[in-house]
Amino acid sequence: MDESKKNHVWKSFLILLKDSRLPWLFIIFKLLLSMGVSQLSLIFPDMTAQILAGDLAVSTITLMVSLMFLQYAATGVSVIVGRMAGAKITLSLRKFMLRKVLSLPIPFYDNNMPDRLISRTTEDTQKLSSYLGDDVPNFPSQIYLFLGTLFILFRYDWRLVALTAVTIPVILLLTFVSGRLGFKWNNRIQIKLAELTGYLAEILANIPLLKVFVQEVKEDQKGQDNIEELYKTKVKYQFITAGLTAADELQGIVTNVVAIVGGAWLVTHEYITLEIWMAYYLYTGNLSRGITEMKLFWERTKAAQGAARRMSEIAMEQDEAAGGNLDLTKQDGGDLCFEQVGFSYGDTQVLRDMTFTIPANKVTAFVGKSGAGKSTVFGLLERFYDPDSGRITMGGESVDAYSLRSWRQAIGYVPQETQLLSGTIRSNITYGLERQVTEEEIIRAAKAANAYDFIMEQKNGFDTETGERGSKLSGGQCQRIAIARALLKDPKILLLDEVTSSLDAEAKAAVEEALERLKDGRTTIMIAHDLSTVRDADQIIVLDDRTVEAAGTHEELIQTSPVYQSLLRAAQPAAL
Amino acid sequence: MKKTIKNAKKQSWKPFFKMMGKNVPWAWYVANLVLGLILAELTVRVPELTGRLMNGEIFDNALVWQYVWVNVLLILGRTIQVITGSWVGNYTDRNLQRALWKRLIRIPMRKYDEQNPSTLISRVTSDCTQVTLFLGNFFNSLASLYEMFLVFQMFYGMSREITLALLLAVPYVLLVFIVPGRILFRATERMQGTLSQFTNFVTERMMNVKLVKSSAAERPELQAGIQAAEASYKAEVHMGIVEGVLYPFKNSISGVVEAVILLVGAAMISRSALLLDDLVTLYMYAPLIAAYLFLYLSAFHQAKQAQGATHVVADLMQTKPETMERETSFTQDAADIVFDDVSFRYQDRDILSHVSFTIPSGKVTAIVGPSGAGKTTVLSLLERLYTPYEGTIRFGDTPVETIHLDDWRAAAGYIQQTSPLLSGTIRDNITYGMDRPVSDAEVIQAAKAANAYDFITKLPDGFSSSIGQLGGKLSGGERQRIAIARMIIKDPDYMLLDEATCGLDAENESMIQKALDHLMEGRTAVVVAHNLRTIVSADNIVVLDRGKVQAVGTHETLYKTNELYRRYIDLQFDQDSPANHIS
Repeated sequence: MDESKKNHVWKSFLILLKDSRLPWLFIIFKLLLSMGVSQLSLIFPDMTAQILAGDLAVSTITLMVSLMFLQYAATGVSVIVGRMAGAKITLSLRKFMLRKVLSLPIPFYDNNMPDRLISRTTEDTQKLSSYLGDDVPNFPSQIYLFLGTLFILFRYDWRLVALTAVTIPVILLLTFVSGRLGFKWNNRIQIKLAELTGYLAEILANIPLLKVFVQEVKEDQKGQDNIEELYKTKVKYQFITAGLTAADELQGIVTNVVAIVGGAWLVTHEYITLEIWMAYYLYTGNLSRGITEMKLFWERTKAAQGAARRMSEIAMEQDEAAGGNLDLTKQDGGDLCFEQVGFSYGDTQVLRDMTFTIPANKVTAFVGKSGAGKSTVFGLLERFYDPDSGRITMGGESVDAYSLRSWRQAIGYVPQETQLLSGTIRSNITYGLERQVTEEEIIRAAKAANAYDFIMEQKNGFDTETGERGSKLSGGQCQRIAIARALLKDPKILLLDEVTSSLDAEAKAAVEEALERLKDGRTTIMIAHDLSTVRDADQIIVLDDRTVEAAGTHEELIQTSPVYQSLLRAAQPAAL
Repeated sequence: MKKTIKNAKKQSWKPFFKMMGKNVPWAWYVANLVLGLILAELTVRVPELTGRLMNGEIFDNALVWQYVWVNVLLILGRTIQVITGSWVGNYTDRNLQRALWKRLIRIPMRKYDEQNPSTLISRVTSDCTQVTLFLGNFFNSLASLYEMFLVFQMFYGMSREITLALLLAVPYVLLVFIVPGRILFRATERMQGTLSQFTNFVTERMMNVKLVKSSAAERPELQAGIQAAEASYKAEVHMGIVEGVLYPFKNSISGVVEAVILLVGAAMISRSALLLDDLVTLYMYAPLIAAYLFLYLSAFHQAKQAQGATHVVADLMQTKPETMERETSFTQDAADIVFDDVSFRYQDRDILSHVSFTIPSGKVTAIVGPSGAGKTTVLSLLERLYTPYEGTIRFGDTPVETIHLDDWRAAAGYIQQTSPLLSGTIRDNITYGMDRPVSDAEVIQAAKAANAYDFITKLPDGFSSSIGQLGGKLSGGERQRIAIARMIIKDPDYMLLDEATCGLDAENESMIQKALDHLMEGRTAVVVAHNLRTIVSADNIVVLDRGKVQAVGTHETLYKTNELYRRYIDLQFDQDSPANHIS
């Protein structure tokens, strides 16, 4: 990443923080509480030393025990405040990211795996917020504890600080090494685990395929190898962790021995009293804890940085253009025209020099071999993509003059394979509608889509759960629900993309009957590979080699279009 | 999920021990425990030594050396214990995972259908680990129980009074242990539940972004998403409050222990019943006691968690895998396949009832009928993915059940309605399941025959393009053509085609159909089709309706004699033949 882009990322990170309005009050409160807890930690060793030296007055003991409980209580409150701050930040970051990931242009989704966008919204938000809400306000108090301890020791005698300073480089070195190694190996394990999970996920989802190809032995072996690999990595990791822990503990012993031997020397030379040494000994714990906390903070900063950068990168992306002010839902559109439209996905040209007119309130059909560009034309009509050259107009106005929202509201789209969302049949039929819909309307739409009967056969009728991606319904049933959805939307323009291609004869007949009703009084644009369904279209546009080969009615094309003729021949069944 | 746990609870622990028996290196666990017991002896000496040092005995060189040695020994011993312990755990984990994987890979379809693939994954990855964690914790608890016993023994030796006073605190400790458990559990569950709801929401929208956009539904979706995020927010705040409130109680255990020791100790010292040195030593042990209690607490919680996982894993381990090895090999001469009074039920629904027909050898048999008639089931039974509920399927005179399953499936090529592709390259997918090395020429030939060559070579990396990177960019038709190429290269003796050309455009369909027709020549083929040409040219047609055979025969006879068939064909015929309107 070059410098300017890096700056840009940081800038957008700041914007992200500003937009997500951090709960400053909570963060500051948390900071103060942690300071208080640290302050108490500074008092304890001194008191303990007093007690252990023989000050066993009940009042001293009670004071110390009450202070302990006070510390627990304060920590408790600080946990609550920190969690609340974190949750608040998560929520506002999530709102921000949700809005963002819903408003990106389609080419962005084509080039980015959905799981990335998902983890940006669900996981990265959480990482960043626990950092901002918990770790950041906690950090100053750790520094305070560390410095405060040093200060107290200094007040006892400067030599004690010097004694401590001897061991600090060792601690720092160890901390650094173990942090590095631990991070590296932890990463390795995560990667192996992800590999194993990915492999398992794929095989377990495709057990029937495995059976059909009799691959049990092979896949068994592959799985065993994967498990073995993970096992070896884990053992190595734990070997290293155990080694590091041992080193850490040994370092603790070294520190203690230095404290003991050094202390003995200081006491013999009467620089300090034995009592002060005892307090000093207790305080050293604070110091090593402080260093550990600082190390943790550093690691968390790194992790949070990663999350922040990933989110900022998405925040930087341009939203889908909202388009002009014309509202297609409120005015008559007129004819749709492609004027010398060209379009490429990356380096591959998909459409070239494409010119045709789709007359209003008529049926226009696109036919052609697969790869001829039919679906791309639909993508452009939906304004998922913008043409690279040429322009698309509606009633003489460039389509960009219409607001994108009204444009899509005015278009009903029934895709080749219908996606249902989890929810009920009802919620799927009314999907995307902003007005209130009556029960009668829904029933009427379902009936017109030939969906009513099978819906009523379901246990809960319209309230039947569809299951994720409509998995509990057959393809034909999903398709009819999509048609009911389009009917209810009552669009100005209807796009039908090979709607019946995956259906059996019966379902096909039912769906086609429904479609006939849907075509009345609106512009219908369809893609079909089943030529019987386009026979009656007002206009058929034949696509070939990424452009328009011919246009006309069925009768005209039989005479004039070689491509249409060859398509017909291919569809002709064997002699009956 | 809850239901399965409930069911699992009723089961005995027998399957658990059966499962653990061979897979757990018990000797190592015991060895590790012995090491733990030895270390316990050392561990309990440390606070005493530290106490004496802190008390000012820092001029006693022997004591300092002893302190150093005991600690170094302890650290080394503990390191060894941690390493062996984690090795034993990982080893057990691996054994369990492997055993489970062996089962899952050969899981019968019926059992497989009951599962959800994503939960099966966590059975292997996290549930097995839960089980081993539980084992490890169990043995660790034994060691620390001994350690605690030693500590109390010492306490008792030094001061009976303080020990008894500590025992009085037991009810309080129990209270602090037990009460938060449920509250914490519920709060965690709520938090995880709302979070996964939010994740599911985002996942579904991101997978269906085109639907959202073409419906101009961004605003309501944003609102719904915010609602889900807010539910998760509330659960998080709730969790934070629960944790914050419980924190002081949980930690108060060490406070209580220290207070008891100091107050009782101080009183005793004032009566000269205890030496200050001893009190210091006892005080040094206070954190140790609290640490034990925490350890038990977490071991207890973990055991509860592991309980569910253990039973589910044990249950899966108990499923009988498909047996490949049967009585006869499948090297017999070609013969007709006979369905003899076959019935099949699935989840309490009759799919096929008393179906009888013959699939003649070397001929094409088409299975025709409305959706839900049981066509795909016939193919699944032929592939022996399922076994009939009643009746038998015979190969000649041999019941298919007695033929080696792997031989049988290897001889059959089965193309499903939608063919899954696996990650890896297109080439990997075309050659999937081939035991011999396959030449590039063969792959190209197969791809050409399946009409897949052109689109494959247009991809940036041709045959080496990775399916994962293409993601959803392959259309259904393209996927299907890769599956057909896979079948062509397998060159099976028997072919089972379930609407193999469905979802292809007319030109592709007719070309692939030609390739398949060519492939089917002289082989036994069973075809589920709604394509008129395939049906008409079949040697034998079985008409199914609602799980029953309505008629069997050729197109000519059936069209004349069977009303259902005629109606079905007419419906198709009307739609499939625009060519008839040319003239």
